[in-house]
Amino acid sequence: MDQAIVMKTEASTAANAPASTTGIRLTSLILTVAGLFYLYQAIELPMGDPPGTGVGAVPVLVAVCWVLFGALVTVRNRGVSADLGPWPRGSAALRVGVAFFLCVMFIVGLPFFGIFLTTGIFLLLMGRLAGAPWTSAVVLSAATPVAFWIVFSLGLKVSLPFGSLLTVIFRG
Amino acid sequence: MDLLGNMLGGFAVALQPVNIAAALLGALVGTATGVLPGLGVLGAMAILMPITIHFSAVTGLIMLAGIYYGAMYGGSTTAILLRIPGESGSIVTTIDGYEFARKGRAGAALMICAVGSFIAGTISIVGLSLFTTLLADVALRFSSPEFCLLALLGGLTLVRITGNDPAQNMVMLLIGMALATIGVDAVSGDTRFTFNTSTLALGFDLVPVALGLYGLSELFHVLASNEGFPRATTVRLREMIPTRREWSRAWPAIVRGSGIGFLIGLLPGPGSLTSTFASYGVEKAIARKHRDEFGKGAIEGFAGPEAANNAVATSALVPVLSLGIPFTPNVALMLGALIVQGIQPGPLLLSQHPNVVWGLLASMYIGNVALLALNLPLVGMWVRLLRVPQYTLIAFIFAVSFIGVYTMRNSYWDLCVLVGFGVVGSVLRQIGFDLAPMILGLVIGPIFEKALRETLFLSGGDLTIFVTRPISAVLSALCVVAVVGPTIAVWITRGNRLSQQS
Repeated sequence: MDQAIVMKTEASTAANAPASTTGIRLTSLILTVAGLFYLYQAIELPMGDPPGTGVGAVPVLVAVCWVLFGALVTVRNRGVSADLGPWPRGSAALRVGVAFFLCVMFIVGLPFFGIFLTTGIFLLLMGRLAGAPWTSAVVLSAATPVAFWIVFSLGLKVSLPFGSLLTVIFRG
Repeated sequence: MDLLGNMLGGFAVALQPVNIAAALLGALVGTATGVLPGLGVLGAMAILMPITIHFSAVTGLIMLAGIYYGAMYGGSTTAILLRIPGESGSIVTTIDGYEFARKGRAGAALMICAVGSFIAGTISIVGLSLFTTLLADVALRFSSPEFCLLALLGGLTLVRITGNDPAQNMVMLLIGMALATIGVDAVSGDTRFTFNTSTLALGFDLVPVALGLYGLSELFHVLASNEGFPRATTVRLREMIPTRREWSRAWPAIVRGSGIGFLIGLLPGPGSLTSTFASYGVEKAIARKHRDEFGKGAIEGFAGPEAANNAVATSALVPVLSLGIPFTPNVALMLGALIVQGIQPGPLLLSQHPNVVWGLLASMYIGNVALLALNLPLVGMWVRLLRVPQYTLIAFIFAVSFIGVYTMRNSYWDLCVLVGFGVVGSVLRQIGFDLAPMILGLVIGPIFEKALRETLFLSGGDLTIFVTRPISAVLSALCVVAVVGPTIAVWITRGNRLSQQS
């Protein structure tokens, strides 16, 4: 019986840069500010009688702890962990940005173009972005929506959106 | 006799064709997840969770459990052959398992791991059947203060043990708990933090949040790093069958690892990783003849940890099935799946929904046998899975995630949450924040809040109720130990070192 051993391929991470302490502090600061906003909203809620039984009690408790620990992480200097991954730069960052844009376009397009067209175009572009040859990307984008239709619509009896534009065009 | 009757009832549920198919599908997906480095078990569970809600509760739970323990099986394959842990629980296996494979015994190592995982899984399922019943009986004496403290203990332990920085973990846990408060309050029915919008009144569902944090963020990371999955080349491996000497060294380690894993799985915290290191430490400590081999391919160095890793996957279900409190993000997702199905986990789960609990337990026997059958003859196929083009996986997982989340509630808001948390998760991971506490916070937040408010209502706002009731007092003490224990341990170690130096 044939079995397998594996050869490791080289990873291409040259275009990336390491994360910094500033990044940790900045993120913690943003999270702390978010915690302060949450606290500001929470203290408007009733604390209940006896105290602690109202809808605002736990949010206030959570918010106070959130702000305190967030501030602690922000002000102290622990240095950067050695196993932190690198930040994407250049073409790597562009790929992530385009992937995010495609995700947003999927959400925007789904109500208008429906599941078939939106998923097909999304898979075609995402496949190309991830490095698929045109032929593979086209096959992937054509086959997957059909597979989804079989699994979700026929198998699980879930109604998938047909799309308002396509409804107007095909169903009047 | 009750146990036997319940198990027979469970098998009647588990042997239904749809449930057998769910166990097999879960085990297949789980093994694939374990084999493929990158996409973790939590991500895989989150991806399939929207699909599981279209089935009955027991079928969905069987599928998720299959993914969970299947990943533990599959993780050892890449750890041994590639020195890449498919799962965090396989990190220890990369040490001696890989070295053992380099000696030309890769096939034997895989066989030992597969059989060890099967034995550990089986032992652990028997333990799970017994412990769940016992603990559920004990838990019937628990009231709001105990549940409040149990939820707190689970959160605090995870915060203390995972990642590098407890303070960062605490922030993540609290953000998760805060997210859980958005929407309709389960106790009073009032809305909170909705800014008069109907979308925020829906709250943050666990599935899009978990899938965004673990699934999408991983895909963004893969796109950013552009790392290909390792490439497999097939060769003949004739040495699948371990020698008698290798077996005689492996099986005691497997039994010990099973016991260690089962016990650690019952405790709060990341049991998978902890148990493998504990098992490795025990094996190294008690080794007499072969201690020098540790780090260079000792059989005990991977047989024990792999067994422990699989035992944990099963025993970690005990707290969630008997108490309704998840101690790890993986079982938190399973608890979330139950809640989505309208089933409230807790001590009454066994009496109110016996078919769910016993059906799940019985299905794990079936799944365990299926995994042995999948892993031994099909090792070659699993490793070839690494040859599937990365772009296919990336595009497919993106699309499955979107469609799965959308079909849950036909909600575009959930899709926005998915993408939003995908971006947030990517950034936080890159910065070095551990995301597991946030998931746990989102699940235990409502449990903690409900229990705390009920407790304070019962006691008239008197907080001493947490120390005047015997079980509460013990749990309060454990919470204190969870917070200050590791710090004190570090001080003592440092003090001993200084005194030795001086």
